[in-house]
Amino acid sequence: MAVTDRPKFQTTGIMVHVVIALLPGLGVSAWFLGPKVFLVVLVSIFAAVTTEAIGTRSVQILRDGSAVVTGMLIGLCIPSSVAFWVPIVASASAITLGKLVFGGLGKNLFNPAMVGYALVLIAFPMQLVYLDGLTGATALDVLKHQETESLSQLINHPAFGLVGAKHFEWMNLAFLVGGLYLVLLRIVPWLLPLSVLLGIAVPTLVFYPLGDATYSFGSPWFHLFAGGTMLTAFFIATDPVTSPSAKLPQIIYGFFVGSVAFFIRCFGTWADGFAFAILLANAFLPLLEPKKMPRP
Amino acid sequence: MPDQANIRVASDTIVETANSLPSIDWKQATPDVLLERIAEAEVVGMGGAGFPTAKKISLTQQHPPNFVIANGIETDPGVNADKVLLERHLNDVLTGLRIVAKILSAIQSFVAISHERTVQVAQGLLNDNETVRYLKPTFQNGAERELIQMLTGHVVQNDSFPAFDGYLVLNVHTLYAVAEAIEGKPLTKRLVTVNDETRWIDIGTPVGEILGSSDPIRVGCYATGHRPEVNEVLTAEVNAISIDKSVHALPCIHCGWCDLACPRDIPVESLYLIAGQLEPNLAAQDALNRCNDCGACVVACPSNIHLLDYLRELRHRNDIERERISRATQARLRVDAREQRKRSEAISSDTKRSERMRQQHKWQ
Repeated sequence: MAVTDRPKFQTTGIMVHVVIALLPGLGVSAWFLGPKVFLVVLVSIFAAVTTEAIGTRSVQILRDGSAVVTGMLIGLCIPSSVAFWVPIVASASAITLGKLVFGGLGKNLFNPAMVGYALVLIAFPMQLVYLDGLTGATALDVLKHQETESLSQLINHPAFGLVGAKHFEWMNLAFLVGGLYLVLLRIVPWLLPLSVLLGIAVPTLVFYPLGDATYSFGSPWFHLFAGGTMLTAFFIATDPVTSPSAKLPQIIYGFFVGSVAFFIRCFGTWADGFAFAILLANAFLPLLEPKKMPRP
Repeated sequence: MPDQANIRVASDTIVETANSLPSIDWKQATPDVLLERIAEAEVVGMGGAGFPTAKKISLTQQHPPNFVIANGIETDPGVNADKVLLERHLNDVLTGLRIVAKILSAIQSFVAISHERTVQVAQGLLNDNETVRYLKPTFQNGAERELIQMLTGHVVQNDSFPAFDGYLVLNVHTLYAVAEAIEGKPLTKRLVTVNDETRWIDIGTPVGEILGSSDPIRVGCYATGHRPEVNEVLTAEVNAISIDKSVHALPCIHCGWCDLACPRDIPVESLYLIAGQLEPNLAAQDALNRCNDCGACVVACPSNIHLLDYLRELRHRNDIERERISRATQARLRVDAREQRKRSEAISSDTKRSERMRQQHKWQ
């Protein structure tokens, strides 16, 4: 019986579709960075699921599948060169500090995956640098540390690819494809990822010509296809629990995430700024949607 | 403690058919005879309201000119009792419609159906002043006021009722019952969708026994039905017995799909969160008043949360709160009036006394 024009999904079904949408990105990552990516992701998922089961003393709670998605996102954020315990620490703290202390799924203020990732990013910064022997430093590191290079020099740097960062542009493309799959299924509201992408592209446009003379902050295309842009825009910023559901708050939220990430990338300490941009935006969420405030 | 009577009611398991009444030739009979028969056969609104049909017809009769609408829009998710009825007994439904139209001497009759195939069949059976329309089974189309507007363009104002404007909307199953009543069969059974299968069930059957398993049920469709009360029996307006999925509900993930699904733009998610505080909230009353229990939010929820239960609960708490406030206000007014009276009495007795004193001084 056609009652609403919206396809019917169950919460568990949503999580299954998110995992399916992440698979192309995971495959491309493994293609460029080596099969160890799979290992990191599996360890992350395992740690997240185990922590949730122990923390809630319940296996029933796992059926919503959110722990699997959290673990998978952490595994995709963390470079595959890390020591085996880093994803375990990240996932365990994501589930405990990011979710369980607030009262479980649906009650958390911050995106659990980003809580765990930010924690290991601050605690073990040297572990989190991409050192694959494949790329050396990533394009975002080059951008930050070799500021004096002119635009043409920058583009010819070996860490750069066709439009974005070498290898990372293909991973971003894969995440874009997966993200569009979720948008087409209407699991993800289209406005949210679009505002995140615009949020990073618009400040880039402002700073791009400015940097052309002496040094560059990178083109819009570069920023859209470098680091974790697409993964964040389609999979992390769209977490229903920690993102707004009304149209205008979605635009503000997405734009905030994108632009803060850009400024951290170009002027901050960290190579990629999405983790902190998301956490900052999460903290502002009750201001954006005051009616959703009553969360314990 | 008052003495409690310890009465146990048990079925004697004897099934008797209701006394059949003599058949009436409705084409010859007068409206009063027909109306009396409909009342006698205890026909009630079977679309959900359960309002006595004879009373509804006579209310409408007082406000001519009259229009009759047969409501065959089935919006309850997973329910096809009306569909099955129209497939098997379309002729009887149309007879019922003509009987009601004759009682009212209605100008025009409309049939609204949400099943395309039945619409095609119905088109071949219509008289001059009858129209059949296919309408999508959306929640808006199924509601009485919205249906009148869709078919005739007439807008029933919020402070009026369809009957006062001369419009009579009856569910197709009610019309079938009307036709049966005129033939002499009182309303004793109806089509009920039990877990995807539609069959005739006697009115008065205990709802717990219909499904035949121990799964938790809802009386009505899953989205708009309620949890069964103790010893509840099937009534004429219940069109389904469904399995209650909400007992396995997952936490709310704040996706906002309930807000998007609501045809009346109610902020369902916010109301759900307010309802979770277990307190009345009169600021939310405006939004609650707009809700017509369609169940679109329940269908949309990916976590199987029965949002309508929460909204009804909040509405119930608000009703109690408003009752309390109005009583408190009345008590306050009574106390104020009493004080006022005392004060004015005191003043008047003061003036009386000083008057007396003055009189006394005068005498001295």
